[in-house]
Amino acid sequence: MSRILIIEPDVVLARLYKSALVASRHEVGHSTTAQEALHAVEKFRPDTIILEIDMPNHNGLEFLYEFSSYSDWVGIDIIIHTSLRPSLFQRMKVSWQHLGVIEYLYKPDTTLAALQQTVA
Amino acid sequence: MQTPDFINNSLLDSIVEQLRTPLLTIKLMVEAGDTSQLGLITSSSIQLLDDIAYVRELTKGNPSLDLSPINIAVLSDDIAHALTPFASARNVAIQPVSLCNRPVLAHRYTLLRAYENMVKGILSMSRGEKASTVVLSTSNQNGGVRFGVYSSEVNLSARDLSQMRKLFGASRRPASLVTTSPVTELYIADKLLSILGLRLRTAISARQHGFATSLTPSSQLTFLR
Repeated sequence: MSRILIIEPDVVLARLYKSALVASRHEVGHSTTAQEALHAVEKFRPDTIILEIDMPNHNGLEFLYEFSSYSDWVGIDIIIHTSLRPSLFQRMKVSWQHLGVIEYLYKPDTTLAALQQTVA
Repeated sequence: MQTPDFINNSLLDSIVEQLRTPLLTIKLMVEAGDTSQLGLITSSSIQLLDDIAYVRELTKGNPSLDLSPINIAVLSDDIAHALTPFASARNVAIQPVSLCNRPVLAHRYTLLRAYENMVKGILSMSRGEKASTVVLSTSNQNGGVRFGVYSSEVNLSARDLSQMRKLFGASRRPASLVTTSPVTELYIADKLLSILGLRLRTAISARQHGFATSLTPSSQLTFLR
């Protein structure tokens, strides 16, 4: 069992992900914005963060850069789980490893079972 | 050849996003065996496509829209009733507040679609973490009838609305503007209102942010009353 923080702006989708992960006996928190998520990391102390990049106001990349600047949070794994295509990030030359990302999942191709397996 | 405004890339990006999320939700609900909201999600997506087709139909030529007397407060109640299930799924209550009963002359269906998209735009911005309320307000303002949609959860400025409008003028949505915003709904509302000679504006009421538009009341109808 691990502590997982889902950062997902769509509340209906978040509910589905949360139910699936709770069913796998994880303790799950949820934030809808990058700003909320920074507070949630401090309070909830997750082992893993599942992050959508496409978010209002401050997007997931901004969250990642802010998150990676805190040395206390170095051991927290980040799983990108987004609707944005990988080709977009290649054009932006984003280096996931440099930002502490251990896995990239393209949302439309990821089932709940696949998400459960990835965080297991 | 110049690309028609309606099919520019930014709008297509937005439509793709607006349809991908409900389709993904349906896929995951089927996987989870939770089919309780499938009807709601599919109807909402079909309505979005219908609204896009309607805007396209109106912007293709010179539409002839028959005007009829409309009580905005009643229209507001109808919208609140229609969107309550959509709002409940986001942990939001819709509260119509009517401070004006003067009738206006407008094309009912176009106005209904515009207002409903304004409300859906605000509802889509809701974070749904805690219960909140979206207020549909009908009031008098400077001799006009003002319809406004406000939420305590949404923080909007005229700059935000201007940026949303600009998204449709850009040849491609830049990565720095990657954002989840109800652009398609607001685009539909903005286009339909402009066809009716009205303007969508950002507005603040009782410290709540949102959108509003004003109509001129029909003096003929007011006299008859």
